Amino acid sequence: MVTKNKAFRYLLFFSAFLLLSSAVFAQELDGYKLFQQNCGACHKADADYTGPALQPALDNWDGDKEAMYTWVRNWGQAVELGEGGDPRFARAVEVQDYDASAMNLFPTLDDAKLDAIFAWVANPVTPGGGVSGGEVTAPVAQTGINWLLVGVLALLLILSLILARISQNVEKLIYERDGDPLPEPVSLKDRILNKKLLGFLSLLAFGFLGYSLYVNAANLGRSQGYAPEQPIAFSHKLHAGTLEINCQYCHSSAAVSKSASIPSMNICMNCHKQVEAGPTGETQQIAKIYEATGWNTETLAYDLEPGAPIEWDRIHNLPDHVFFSHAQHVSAGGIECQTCHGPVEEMEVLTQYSNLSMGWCINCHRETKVQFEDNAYYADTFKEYHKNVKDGKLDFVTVETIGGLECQKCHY
Amino acid sequence: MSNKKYVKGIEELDMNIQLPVVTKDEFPQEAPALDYFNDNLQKEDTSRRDFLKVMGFSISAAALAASCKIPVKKAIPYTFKPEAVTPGKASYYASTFFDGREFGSILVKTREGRPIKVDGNPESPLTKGGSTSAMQASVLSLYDFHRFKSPMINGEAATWDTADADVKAALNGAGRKVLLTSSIISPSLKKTIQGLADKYNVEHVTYDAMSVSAMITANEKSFGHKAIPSYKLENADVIVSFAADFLCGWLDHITMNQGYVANRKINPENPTLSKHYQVESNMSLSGANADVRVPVKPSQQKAALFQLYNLLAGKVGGSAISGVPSEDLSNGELERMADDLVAARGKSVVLCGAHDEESQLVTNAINAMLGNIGSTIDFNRTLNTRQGVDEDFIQLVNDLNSGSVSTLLTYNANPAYNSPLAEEFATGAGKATVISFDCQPNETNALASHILPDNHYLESWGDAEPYSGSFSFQQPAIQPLFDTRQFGDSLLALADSEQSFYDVLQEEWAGKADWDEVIRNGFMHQAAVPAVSVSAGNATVSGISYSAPAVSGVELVLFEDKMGAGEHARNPYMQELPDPVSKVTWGNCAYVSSKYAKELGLFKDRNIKPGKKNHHVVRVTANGKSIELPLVVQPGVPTGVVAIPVGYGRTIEGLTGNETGESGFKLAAANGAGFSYTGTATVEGTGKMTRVAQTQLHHTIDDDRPVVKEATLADYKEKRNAGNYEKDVSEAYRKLVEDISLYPDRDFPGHHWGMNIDLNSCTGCGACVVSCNIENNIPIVGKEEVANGREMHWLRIDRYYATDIDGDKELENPSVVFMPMMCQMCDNAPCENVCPVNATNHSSEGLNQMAYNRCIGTRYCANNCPYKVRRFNWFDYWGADSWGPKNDHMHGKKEHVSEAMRNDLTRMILNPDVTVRSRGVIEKCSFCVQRIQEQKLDAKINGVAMDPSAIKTACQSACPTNAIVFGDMNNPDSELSKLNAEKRMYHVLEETHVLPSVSYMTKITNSAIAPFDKLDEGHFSEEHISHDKGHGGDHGDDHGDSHGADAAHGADHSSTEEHDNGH
Repeated sequence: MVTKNKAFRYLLFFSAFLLLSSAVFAQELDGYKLFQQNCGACHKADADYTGPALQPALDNWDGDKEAMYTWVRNWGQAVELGEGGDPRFARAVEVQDYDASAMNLFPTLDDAKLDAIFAWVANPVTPGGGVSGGEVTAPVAQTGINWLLVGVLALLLILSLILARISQNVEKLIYERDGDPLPEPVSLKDRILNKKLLGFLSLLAFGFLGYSLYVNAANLGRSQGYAPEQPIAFSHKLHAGTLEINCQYCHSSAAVSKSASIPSMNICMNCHKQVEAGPTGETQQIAKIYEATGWNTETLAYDLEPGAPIEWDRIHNLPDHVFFSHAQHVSAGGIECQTCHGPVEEMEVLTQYSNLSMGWCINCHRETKVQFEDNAYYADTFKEYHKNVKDGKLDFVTVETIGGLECQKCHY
Repeated sequence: MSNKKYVKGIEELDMNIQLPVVTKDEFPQEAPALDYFNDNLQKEDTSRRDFLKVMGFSISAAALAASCKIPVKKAIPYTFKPEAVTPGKASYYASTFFDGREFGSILVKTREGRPIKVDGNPESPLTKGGSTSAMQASVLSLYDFHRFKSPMINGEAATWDTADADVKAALNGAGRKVLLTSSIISPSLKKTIQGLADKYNVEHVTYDAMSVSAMITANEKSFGHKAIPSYKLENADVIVSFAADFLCGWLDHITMNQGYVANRKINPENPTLSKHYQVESNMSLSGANADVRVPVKPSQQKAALFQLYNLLAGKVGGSAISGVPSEDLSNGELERMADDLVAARGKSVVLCGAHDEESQLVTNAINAMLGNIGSTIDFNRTLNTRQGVDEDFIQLVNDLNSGSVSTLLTYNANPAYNSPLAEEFATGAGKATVISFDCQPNETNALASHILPDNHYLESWGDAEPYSGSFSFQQPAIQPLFDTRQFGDSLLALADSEQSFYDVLQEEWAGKADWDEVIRNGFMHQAAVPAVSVSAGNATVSGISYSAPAVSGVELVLFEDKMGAGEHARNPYMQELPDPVSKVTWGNCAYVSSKYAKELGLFKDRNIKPGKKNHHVVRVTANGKSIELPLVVQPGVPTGVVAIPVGYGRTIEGLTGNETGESGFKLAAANGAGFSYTGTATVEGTGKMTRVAQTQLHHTIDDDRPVVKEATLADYKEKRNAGNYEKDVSEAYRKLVEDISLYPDRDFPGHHWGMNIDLNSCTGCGACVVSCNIENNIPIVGKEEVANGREMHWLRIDRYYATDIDGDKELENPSVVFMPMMCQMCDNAPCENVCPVNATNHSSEGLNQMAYNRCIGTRYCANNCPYKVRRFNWFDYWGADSWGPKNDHMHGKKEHVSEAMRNDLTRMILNPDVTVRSRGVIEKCSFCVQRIQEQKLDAKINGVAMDPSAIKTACQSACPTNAIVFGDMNNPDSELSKLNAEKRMYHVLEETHVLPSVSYMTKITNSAIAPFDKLDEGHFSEEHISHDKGHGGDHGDDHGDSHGADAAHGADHSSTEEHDNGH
């Protein structure tokens, strides 16, 4: 039990460290990341997907960047301009005539970000090859018995038996040499019913029972490894792993709200209006989305009676007296989803990866360093710490240092 | 030399009552479990075997619970998520609150589409973010499961089609048709009503409970305007009010409070203060705030007003009123009043709350004589929330009884309850077809055969013009919960209109305003309104002569307290809110002076220990009707007067249950063209005793050192720390104590949260208390439990009577100070170091934190808190932990309200960001830590420095007068730091060195007598001390001569004493 936890902790710290260090160096605008966050759900750089391949698509604009910005941010506006006779937007009207489905609006993408995306599209190199930033070590397979330990124990047992035999023989020899009468041999029964031994054993038993009571009581309500069968056999491995859709494309409120939110069906439909079958050609699961939303695959419109909403089994549950904010960890803390949720992109069936116990939270708060450098809030609020870090008097400030272990940071 | 003493009730001055029992025990009641054991286990044959049985059951139950699987929780996302909703984040919508009397521009906070909080809209130029207790509490009425859930015909649910058809048939029938409503302030709704009136020839009668009818008709005679002007109290240097409780619902609650306090705030550079005189017969909230309060009997009010007129006429020049008695009713105050008014001509105002046209005409004459029309009294913006004229209603009742009205439509008017003609109205209504459009059941629509229920106001569209030229807009914050239809839509449907009420609104505002913009803002304010010509030529006293009111013996006065005319009497938050002045909850009482109570022989034998039957029941008879009420001594009520608040004793089923007092309206009378709320009464004992859930002595700070500090304006002008410590001495004392303190030094590297409360700005209205309750999921405990001293309010408003105990032992006319009291967030917190499980501890931001799930309920912390602000959950009031709905002993006594509050619909009001506490844990004010965390996170995500004013606690955002300021003491730019640097600032019980984070500002009054007369000379004389000891001072003689002085001025004095004790 203990060794398992230790290994687990090291693993966590190691992965947290890796993630944090990668976050620190990702200062410049990362075209790949931006592409994944905003475009990757529908587009690929060099191949048609839900949307058209972007390399040829961008070539169609003759390098008119201003026009491209308008098009990406608000395609409707571009179409209007084109219809109004602006020759720069003639392409927009053409595309409109293809009867394409509506692209999302991206008003938050500024010129610099779009330039970064265009640059990446022109030269699409995937860094590392994994999911963006998700450098996560898979959990070590945990077997129930530690064979090495069993071997050592067995060896010790044999050794002690041999030694006992030797000592008994030596004792006997001494008695024989001295000519003393041999003492009455103690029967096995008496040996076992020895008061000292019994006392020791019952103390041991008491300790063990107490310990297991504590462990089991503490585990009441914890459900690490919980992987229920969901109403739709949704595969994170396919969506987040193979297709590399950014987590926050679907769990969109994680950056701004306390809940990461389970995506509403209309988010699924952004892609599944086009994608009607899974990679093996299976359509049964996707049909459940259509049924819930009232999507008619014949007319390609929501003209059917919507069915009952999908009732997912909630996997990650915190007690009611815990306030947990995703926004705090994702946006302010810059923690990767995988730090707590594990390698979701490898999970065919989503599983609760961490035990979500308070000790687990606290450990992370003890170790995690706060990003003091680039956040005016910390610099302004913790002037002394900020100065010391700057002057090199302090190596780092952890969440604990600024009060991250206090009760009312999570319980109110 | 005066001996001023601050007390919470007359009991503290009565040596026969064992006060320490009440004030020293934080929990005067024994644990409820002990009652149970005493009742059941001891007397019955509880044996060892029973014990084993119980134990065996417990163990197997625990084992069963442990072996159960964790229940599967479902997560159901939206199918199509509305764009404006982000799960886990609140959305705010600007809207309008109007209940027929009180108005407010509001912001509705919704979570996942569910309104959970209503606050004032800070951008509204009308109400400037202010709110009232009723407005705060109104969100609960949305989730009242007693609401009409569909159209009703003769008590049976019906469809809209059949209901509409029936009503149309009635409207098409012969006979007169009348629509009876409360004041309508919506221009669009008025137009819609006109549409219906035109189609079916319906007459519209406006009825207001406790109307200001006499003012309206007097204004027409004096100024030619049948309207209520707006009173600009911010322009008034002298305010004289004759029984007008303008701080508690008379006319316009919020703007009156704001205008009043604008001239009560102290600017240290140039301190000025308005002078407020109040002449009245009950102890009203305005009277409690007055600089000079003149208690007179109701029959003397008119004489006093006429005397004032004659005095002013003598000074300014004008014809006197004849026949006015010359007897001095006011101890010379009327003379001083007249001098002050003349000195502040054009910058003064006289208000009159009398339901009597003659008094109103004389008031108008006074204001005209003083040149106040146009300066403090503005007819350009008239107040539209009180349009009812009593005469019209009396005519309607006569017509109903004569049978000439065939169909009566009612909307938001409840005359069957709150009219003096309730019985006559009910009889008359029986002769007509009554159709009601109300949202909630009430006494009037109980008479109706057809109910076409309105939406709740949070489900409705609308507009409002509370003052002419100032508009406020209403938008729904939630879809209708039930099968209801907005009143406007019902009218349109009955008039066979194609339009919806929303169309009417858009049509009304097309071209006048950008609809989207005004809906988003919630208001539209015309900076300039066309000037109205007012001729004051008719504002004279010609034809008026004094005639004495025909009363004899004991006099009755009916008045409105926090409950108004009973609109919100079914709202548990309003019932549990202690009345600002009397501190009575859950019902009304007959208030009399202590002298009169003694005369009646009903003063003694009262047991003030909480939970006991502690008050005599009396029968009050007036106008041929009588009601039985508990007799409560209310300081400030003149002897020979019995004052009864109206607005209680509703009989229709609601969340509160029915044990909420008796309706005072039953004693009112109709006299000719109007209603009378005063008269001759008889009071007789019934021999019965009852419990009154009065919180005035609960949680009394058990300390003889002054908790509230006061000074007069004159003293303050001389010395900025008048009434307060000498700051440099107190600093020296602090340093000394720090040297010998056993507490660890604390470091606050980031924020250090604090709060400042200005006693000059607090009028004691109680909006903050209700706001705090709703924000923090504070449970309603019900009458029994309040009587037991177990109310859960985190924030209470302590009301202190200040009196010269040598002169006014009977508290006949005490001055009053209000002090909001909540957790003081001590940095050396006495509660923290007695907790055996460290459930309460200190954060690095200066918060005294409470971890509910660590608390095991020893209550040591509550016993060790000098401010008595910790509350213990005796029961599972919200039903958070119950295993089943019938688990009664977990919920406490089976009171109606405790059942009602655990209903699934009622629980929709819970704030999802705040833990719902289970029973057995202590809780207390958290400085709204959820709001702190939210704003901090916002700053972190945006990577910006914290705006010191970004965080507003629930009490602060509710306060109409900005008496509460929250902020960061580590930030020198915050408003809080600036206030804390003022010399008026003090901490309660500062000398105990608990280092509170809540600071107060000494109250500065404009009264002539120093509250602490000559502080530094012998106030705490030997004589006083010996008196003090008599009623329970527990200090030894060696302390006696300095214990008061340390608080008052002599910090060095007391520090030496501390020092001596320390060694």
